[in-house]
Amino acid sequence: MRGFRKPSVRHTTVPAARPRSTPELSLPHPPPPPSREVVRTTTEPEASLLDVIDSLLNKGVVLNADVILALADVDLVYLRLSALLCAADRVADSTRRRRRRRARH
Amino acid sequence: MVLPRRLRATIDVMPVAGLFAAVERVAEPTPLSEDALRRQHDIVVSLHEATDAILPVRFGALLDIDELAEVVRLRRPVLTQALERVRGHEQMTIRIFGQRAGGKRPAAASSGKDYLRQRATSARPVLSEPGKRLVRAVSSLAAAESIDTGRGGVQVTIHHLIRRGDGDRYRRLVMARATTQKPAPDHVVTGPWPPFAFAPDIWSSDSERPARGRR
Repeated sequence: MRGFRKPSVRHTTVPAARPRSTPELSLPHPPPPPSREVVRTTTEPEASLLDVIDSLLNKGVVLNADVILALADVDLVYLRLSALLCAADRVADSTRRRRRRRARH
Repeated sequence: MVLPRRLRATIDVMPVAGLFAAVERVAEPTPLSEDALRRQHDIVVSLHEATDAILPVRFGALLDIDELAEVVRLRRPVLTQALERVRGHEQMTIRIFGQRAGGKRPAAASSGKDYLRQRATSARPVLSEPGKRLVRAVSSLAAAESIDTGRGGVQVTIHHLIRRGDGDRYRRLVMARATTQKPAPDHVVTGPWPPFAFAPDIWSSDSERPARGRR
């Protein structure tokens, strides 16, 4: 997963005191943003990814008791989930390898 | 609820303890990745469009059907109340960028309890004056509000629960208020989204949690 990066360009709904030059400002007629997008679209992946991360890793109903321990910090949740899931895969994989070795003897 | 066609191959909507759960049956945990997060986000957004009340579940939830039924059975009053709260509503989000607004640096803690109290206070989200004005601008539309301390350049994140269809009006109100402020707060408005930030903490009471079962 790409690490979260601070958005390098942010649009405000009004011109900032120090206007930033952006690719969008050079277009004669920029298209209107889709209804679900930000008021003025920044580099969309950053804004959308931030919403996705916030919504799914930091919000929502918690069903598993397993993930409750990892709620102290979003980064920690990410690491813990990743480590937990990755470890589960590796355990399953190494268990399968051990069984195959035993079967050959 | 009529599932969107593209979800019918992977998502089941099943009755669970008097409510309905949209589930995806998987053989093993889904590894965390940007693609996996985006996929789940898209699914929840599609389900939100297909029904008038939905409570998204946090990423990574993997349970047996029996475990799910037990959780829903135990926490049904909380879930039912939360569903009624979000029925016919959607979420808008304002992120205000910049340094965290706050008070002076606290004095050195005299005790462990004091230290923890200071940490708890410093973790609370603090709205700057421009942020407060933006929030007041949309207060007539907000059925509920949730404010989080931001991170990574985000000063604070504000979620509002609004009636479905009010998203454009919400944006116009924010924009109108922002234009009157000098300097204008650096912010971005996104949405509408399913009500992620208004899903309840179902474990906050003293009710017994179900025993963790084997998958």
